[in-house]
Amino acid sequence: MHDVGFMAGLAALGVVVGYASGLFGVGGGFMLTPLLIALFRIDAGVAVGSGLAQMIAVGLTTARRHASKGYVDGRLTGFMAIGTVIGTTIGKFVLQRLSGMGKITLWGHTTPLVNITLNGLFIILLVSVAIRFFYADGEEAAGAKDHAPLRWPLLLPVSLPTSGIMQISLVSLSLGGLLIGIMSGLLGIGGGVVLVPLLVFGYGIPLRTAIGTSGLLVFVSALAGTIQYAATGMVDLWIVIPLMLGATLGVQAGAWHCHRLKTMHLQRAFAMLVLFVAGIILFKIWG
Amino acid sequence: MPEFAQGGTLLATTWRVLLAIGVPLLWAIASEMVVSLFHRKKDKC
Repeated sequence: MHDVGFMAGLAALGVVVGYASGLFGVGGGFMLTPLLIALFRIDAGVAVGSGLAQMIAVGLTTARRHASKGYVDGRLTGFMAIGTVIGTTIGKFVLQRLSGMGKITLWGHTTPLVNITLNGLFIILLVSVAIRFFYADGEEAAGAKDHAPLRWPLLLPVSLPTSGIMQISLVSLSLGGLLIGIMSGLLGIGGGVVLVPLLVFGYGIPLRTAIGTSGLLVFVSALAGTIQYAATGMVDLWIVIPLMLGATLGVQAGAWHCHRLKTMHLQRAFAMLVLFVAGIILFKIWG
Repeated sequence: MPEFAQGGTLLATTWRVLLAIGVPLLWAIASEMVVSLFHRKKDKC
């Protein structure tokens, strides 16, 4: 067991991560893992495993909060979840294959070439997403637009009544889940920060439903990830408990704000979050 | 490595996994029950 100050610090960090999750439907691993390693001197594997375990509580609470307002699409989660889990495995496999690409020295630091390439591409994607969010009109983020580019209604059509969509391709949804999973496996991120823009701009899902549904997908992927890490002893419950105590409080505040903010303000706040994630990745490459 | 995580038998591994997913699940369910109670009380007022 750790000392009281250490646990209180973890609980405070949990509040911040939980707030981000409640407001944006993201797991928060992009800030939690580096902070656990840098501030709390926790081993990287245990930081990831314990972070995933607390995301079970955070994802479930986030989904429950948004579901109480009708902002979670269970069918959509089901259609995407299988692709996400398979995609994560493919992403990890590809990453292992690519890790032999060699190293590169930039600004006096030597880092694996694959890290620079993948993270560089990811930063470009995140900046594009942020710009798209900044310039999207409120109506677009309100969703259910007929001209959403990835609906493909003629290919195995299914309906998503909760999201207000009559016809959308099951193949397209599964491929979307697979793509998110591959990115997650390649980059070691949960994927919520990319999933929400994909749901809004790709499928025309309303922003709040995309956020609530992303929370449920965070829960599903955290459950799968925790089993893997716990089996190898990489989950420390004395880290998980204070984190999730703080996080479940933060989720309540974040979801409360999400339901009250204007759509335009929410999408701009999401754009800021995406830029923040891009900044963290840039800092990691630089460091 | 965390003290409860030591040991390599199948039973120990199963116990570790059950604890790691069970504790957050139970906490999420319990906290949601408290929040719904709070909301019900607020609605009555």
